Amino acid sequence: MDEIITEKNYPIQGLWLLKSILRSLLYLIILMLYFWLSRFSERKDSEISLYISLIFIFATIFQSVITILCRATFHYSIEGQFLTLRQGILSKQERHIPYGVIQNIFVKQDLFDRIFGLASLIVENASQGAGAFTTPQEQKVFGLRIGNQQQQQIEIIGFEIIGFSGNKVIIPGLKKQNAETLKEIILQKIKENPIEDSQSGL
Amino acid sequence: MQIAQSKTREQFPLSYKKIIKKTIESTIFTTILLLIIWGNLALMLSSIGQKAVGWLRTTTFGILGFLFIKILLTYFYQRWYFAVYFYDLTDDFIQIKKGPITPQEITIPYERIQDVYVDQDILDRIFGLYDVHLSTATVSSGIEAHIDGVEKQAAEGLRRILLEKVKQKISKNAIQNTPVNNNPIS
Repeated sequence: MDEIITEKNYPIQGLWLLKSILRSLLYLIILMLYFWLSRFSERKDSEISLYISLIFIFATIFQSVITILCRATFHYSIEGQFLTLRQGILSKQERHIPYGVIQNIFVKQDLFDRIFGLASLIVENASQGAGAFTTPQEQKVFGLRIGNQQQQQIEIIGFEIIGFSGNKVIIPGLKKQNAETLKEIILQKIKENPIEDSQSGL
Repeated sequence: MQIAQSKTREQFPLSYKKIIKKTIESTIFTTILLLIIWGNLALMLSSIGQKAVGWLRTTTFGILGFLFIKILLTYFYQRWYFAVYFYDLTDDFIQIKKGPITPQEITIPYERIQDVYVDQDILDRIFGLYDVHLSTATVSSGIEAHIDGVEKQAAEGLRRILLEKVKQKISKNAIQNTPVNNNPIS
């Protein structure tokens, strides 16, 4: 199994792009509905509502473009010794993860994924912030710890990005079958490449 | 009910009491809240007198009906959740999969397990259930990786087998990778 597997073998589906667009559209519809209803009230603020809607529409378009670019610039390859990842629209980042340090692998589907038969593959190691967008992992304010634990929890449950950040690598929008296959391949690699010093405390 | 069976789940089954426990856990807050609201309403309406009897009946039916439907729906959801709950200890990895509508699956290599711990909350104490947690060095594994709602015997069995596997894996790695008599401490 020495051939290099990349996103060409198991691509991120174009359908996945719909997800963020659909989400924005949903908000837009709710916003429109609100403004439409507020027309019946006494206050006339149609001009403001028009501006807000316009800003929102532009934000949606902007976000969609960013998502498309993110998908286009994200590359992964499963090589002999390392899981190599590249991302970045303007500032480029490259990361190599040895298979031995992978802590766990998630395969998850949210409602959208369920409907369209997609799945996300998430690979985690135990690194503290290498390749992270946000630098402070834990800040101390007056002796009180403000960790990013909660933030990470939110990430798990809710909003999902593409690429790597912190200790996570997220490959979303794979076909369910492909996600399972990729998982198996990475698990096989973990098995083949054990690290010498075990991190387990047991 | 079609249960997602695995060898491990056959050996260390989830307790059916888990469905009841989870149903109680996720409806108890609403139940208490609604009963308080209902009690206050009943007091208020009864102080008005004869005219409010119709209202009292409507609110009683409304609140109790809502509560009944909520509990029923929760119960069926928990049954479904119980049925699709999948966990398997394979030779090299632990696999836990749950969530009927939005499935989440976590796979952990044994060597990465940081700790195995067993706990009970109050309802667990009442029902005699145990949760077996296992986590790696990541935050998300602490949240995702647990097998909850097993009885004492199964919990102990799971813990024993997990620790055994971890020990096996670590010692196997150590033998493979460290030269003999190279370490002055051992």
